[in-house]
Amino acid sequence: MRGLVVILRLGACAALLALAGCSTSRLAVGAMVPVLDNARDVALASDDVETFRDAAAANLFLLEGLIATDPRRVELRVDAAMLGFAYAYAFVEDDNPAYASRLYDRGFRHALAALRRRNGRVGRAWDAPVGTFEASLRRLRRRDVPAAVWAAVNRGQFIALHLDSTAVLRDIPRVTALLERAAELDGDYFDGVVWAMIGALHAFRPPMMGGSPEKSAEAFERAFAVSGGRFLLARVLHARYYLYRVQDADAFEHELREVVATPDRPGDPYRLLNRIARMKARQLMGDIDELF
Amino acid sequence: MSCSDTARRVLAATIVVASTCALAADAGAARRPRRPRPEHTIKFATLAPDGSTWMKTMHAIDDAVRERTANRLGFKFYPGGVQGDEKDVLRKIRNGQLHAGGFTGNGLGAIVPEVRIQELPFLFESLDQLDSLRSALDPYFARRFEEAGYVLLGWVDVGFIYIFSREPVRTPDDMRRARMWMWSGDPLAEMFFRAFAISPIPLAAPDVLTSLQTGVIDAVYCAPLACIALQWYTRVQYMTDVPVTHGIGAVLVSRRALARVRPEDVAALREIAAPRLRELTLRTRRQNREAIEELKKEGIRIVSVDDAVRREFYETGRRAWHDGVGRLYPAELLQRVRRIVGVSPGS
Repeated sequence: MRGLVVILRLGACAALLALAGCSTSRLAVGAMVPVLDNARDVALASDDVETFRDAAAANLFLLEGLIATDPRRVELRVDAAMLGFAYAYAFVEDDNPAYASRLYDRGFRHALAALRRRNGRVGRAWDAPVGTFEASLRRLRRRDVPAAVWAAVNRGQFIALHLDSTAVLRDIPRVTALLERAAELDGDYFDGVVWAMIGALHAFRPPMMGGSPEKSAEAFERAFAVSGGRFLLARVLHARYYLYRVQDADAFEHELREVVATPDRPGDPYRLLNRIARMKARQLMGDIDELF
Repeated sequence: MSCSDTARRVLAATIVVASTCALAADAGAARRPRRPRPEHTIKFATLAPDGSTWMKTMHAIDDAVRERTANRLGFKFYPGGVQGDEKDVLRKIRNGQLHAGGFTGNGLGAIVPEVRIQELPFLFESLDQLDSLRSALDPYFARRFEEAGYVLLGWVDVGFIYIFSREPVRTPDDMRRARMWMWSGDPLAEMFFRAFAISPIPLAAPDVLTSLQTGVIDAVYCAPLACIALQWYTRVQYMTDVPVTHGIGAVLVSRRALARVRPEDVAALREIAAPRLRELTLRTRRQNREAIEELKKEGIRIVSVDDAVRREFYETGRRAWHDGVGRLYPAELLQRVRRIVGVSPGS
């Protein structure tokens, strides 16, 4: 609770800085970026899921304040997109999909704004017809990968919550193309998360809608190869999407049991996400009767 | 950006983030609480993915049925085609692995071929005609499904079917010049193409997107909503503004699966499902209208057809009707359909 108060105060400070003067406040934001980078890395390597859960919303608040003070800071927007996604996926979506979908949408908009800042042609082409957007991706560069990945995963998860919206369905090929191009440029980013998302996307859609269990299996194999199977979230997604698609209940249960039994790894930079993966795996194990 | 703008943005962001914002977005359902297994479980499979309008309707039916029958009857769902395509689902229903499904005309026709009469080319010019035909023939088809071992819980629209192409299709001749896809093994599609003297390229539906990409085909037919959901719109540029037919769908449950269910629970299931599936039909109609607007945003150009050519499409396409007599439906049923929609044999 005290952490929350501190963060709220920081948010208020950011607001006051904005009121005090643009250049001063932007300088202050610039000075905070390395601190926030450290805070993000410490959080990701932490084993304290509860504190992350309690602090995430307030940290999003802080990031919104800083972004509003200096909207040009690409790193802040990417962090906001990443944090919003992790919080919504881990703690919000199951109980409050309407709130989760707002978080995914906000995360997507931040990541897209970052992409526009870094690579105007690609970022602006999002709203163009899908062929134009796909063509623009030739200009995507390795340094754009974080913004591209968090834009795609936030939008992908938003789509999954709005499959009854005709307008939203149109973005599925954009998300697919963005992930595939990001994988081409830097498939190792974030322990191969992009391959895991591609795997999930190919398994989630029936073959008639462009899905492919074979391509899903291949993408997950690549994700596992990047992290040596240590990025547990990829294994949870593999069970939830691929093993569900091929209706292999035994492998589903086996995979999730292994995830739950995997101990923390010393020095794991993604320990927090791996703990969240174990939490998700336990939940999914309770759904076996519903899914198979 | 000015400083006061920045300050306003900070305050605005603060307000937006702080508010719990009752923006009742129609997001997917919350994680379903685990419920005790019902006494009788209907295993239902469909190609529609979880979270789609179809599946939301089916979950609503399940919730209401469980409540009304005190959990004596309920569903277990296999969405997104995880049990295979419609042919696979029918096979699994026959061998008792599954009990129910949401089907399109192709799957329904594999059980009762004559239901395809509702999908005859150029049969309807308005949804009112479709609704009149459906209410007139519903008892007949329900009986035919009963005889084939199924309970018809309700019809659902797929929607008016249009030609989508890479080059504009303004006339039947343009259609003949196109590399036109045909859903392989669909007798109704065969009749349609025969009437237009077209040699289509038969492919399974999952192969269409790739074949559009590689240029094996350059024209397809589907409902606007399906064109988006199946992503075919990413590989075409034109939509011809003449609906060539209207696609049907329905939800069926195997009678064998309901044999041990109390009659009053089966009655409750029928009573609960019918209005909800009707609502699904109305929503699908709305979504198909929206889909045309979304397709325009994707740069799809609508090809208008003048009245004379429209008549040519209708006259040529309607020649296919007689082709189905004895193969898909009896002559008397065709006469009845003609009477209901008001199309005389000469028109």
